[in-house]
Amino acid sequence: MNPTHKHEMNSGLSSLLQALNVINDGIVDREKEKQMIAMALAKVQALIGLWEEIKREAP
Amino acid sequence: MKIQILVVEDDDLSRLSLVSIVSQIANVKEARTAKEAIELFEKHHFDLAFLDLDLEKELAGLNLIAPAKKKGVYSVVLSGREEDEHVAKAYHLGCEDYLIKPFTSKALELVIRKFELTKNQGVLREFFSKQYVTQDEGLINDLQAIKEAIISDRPVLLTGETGTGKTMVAKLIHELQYRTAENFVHLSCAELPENLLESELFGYEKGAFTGAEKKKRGLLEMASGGTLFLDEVATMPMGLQKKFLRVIEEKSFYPLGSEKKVTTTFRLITATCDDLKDLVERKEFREDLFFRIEGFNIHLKPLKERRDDIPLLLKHFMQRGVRRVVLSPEVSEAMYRYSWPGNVRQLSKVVELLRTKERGVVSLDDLPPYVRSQTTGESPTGKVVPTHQFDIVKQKGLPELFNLVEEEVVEHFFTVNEGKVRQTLKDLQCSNATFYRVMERIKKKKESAV
Repeated sequence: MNPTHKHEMNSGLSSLLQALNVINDGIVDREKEKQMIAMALAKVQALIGLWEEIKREAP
Repeated sequence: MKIQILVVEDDDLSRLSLVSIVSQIANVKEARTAKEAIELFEKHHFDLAFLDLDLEKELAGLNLIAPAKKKGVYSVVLSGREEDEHVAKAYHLGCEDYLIKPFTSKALELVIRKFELTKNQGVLREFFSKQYVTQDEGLINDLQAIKEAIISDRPVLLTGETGTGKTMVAKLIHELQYRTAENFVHLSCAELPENLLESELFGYEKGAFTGAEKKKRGLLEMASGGTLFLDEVATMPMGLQKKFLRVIEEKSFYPLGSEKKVTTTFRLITATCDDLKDLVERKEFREDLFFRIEGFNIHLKPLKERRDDIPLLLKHFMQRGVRRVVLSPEVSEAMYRYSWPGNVRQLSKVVELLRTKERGVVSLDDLPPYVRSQTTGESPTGKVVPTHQFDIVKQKGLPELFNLVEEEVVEHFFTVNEGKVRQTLKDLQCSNATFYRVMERIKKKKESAV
């Protein structure tokens, strides 16, 4: 995994975990929670795409 | 007034997460890039800025630390990078904190508390000049532990003689931590017998015991979300100590007569004038509970070890109210030299008494006998009995002098300890029988004087 991919993957996963922490803490209202879940799903898709790319580039 | 926070983060989800947390206690503005952040720094005032380390370019967040510092903004760097070189560089450039992502809401709360404490240095200064009046360097240094206590959730144990201001310090910690005086639950364990203490702490259901006519919420439940301050914790009975330990560990309990578990989370502050380690060694206090409540130990010096504060305290207490009286130099001197076993509380009560005197200039005769008779803390000759007391021996005999000494000493400690028999017996180191015999004699003498 090249350093850029590694950084993007770490950063994306950390962002996801951060959002999950906030949702679990129950400190956001229902509307914001929905917004965060939608963004988190988009992030998951992006990370899957990134993972495919990493796999393709792997020797 | 709400604090002003800038969140600089290029990742939309991370930014939304962070903003969701901090917007509950602050006004928040957001920036996605370093350029946007610089523009906002120019246009608005911020107290605190959360700076993502990697923005549109890697490590671009480092370039924001200096502009933030220039504007007096407390900056906290957020990053997934744990390498020491980045952390060191961020601190070197002037950031105040560095948080590794992903972080919990709790970690963020502690960072904000630390920031507020830095901002509130003035509050601590004011506390030392207007409430807990002291210029004693050692004591002020010891009390710096308050800062550490506020940015942590560990328990606080306040130790010090009676009247040294333990309750005042406990309230300050609570107010600085929660930004409000509400939700501060105070209970002195020495004031209630075991069964009452238990029902006060745990609460009870209707009919849980004889006299429980209606349901009552316990203090453990009422303190949830705030502070539980247990004064005189050393006097908590052993049986109750075990139950209380379980509450601290499980963060839940059953009220008396109830099958429904109640959860509770509180900041625990305990206080004692006893040596808990000594009590643990003597098996009079549970060791496991001692370790749980120890946390930050803040010791409050007795007044006799910081005599230079006495003139400041006299001035402070004399200025209360509208009526002014003046202390003669001899009175000030006597008060400076007195040992003040009841500490600041006793000093404040004596001043209160002096302020009600008819004459505007208070003389030695106006002082309570126990202060007047102990002007040096000990006899200047190094002898226990001042020579003028020999006249009493001549007139009334040695037994009567012993009686007078006994009565004066017992009455003194009983007054200083505000009528608390247990503490008085501890100070006097005498038996219950001796204490009550002397008290009976004092009572009879007072009755015959009337």
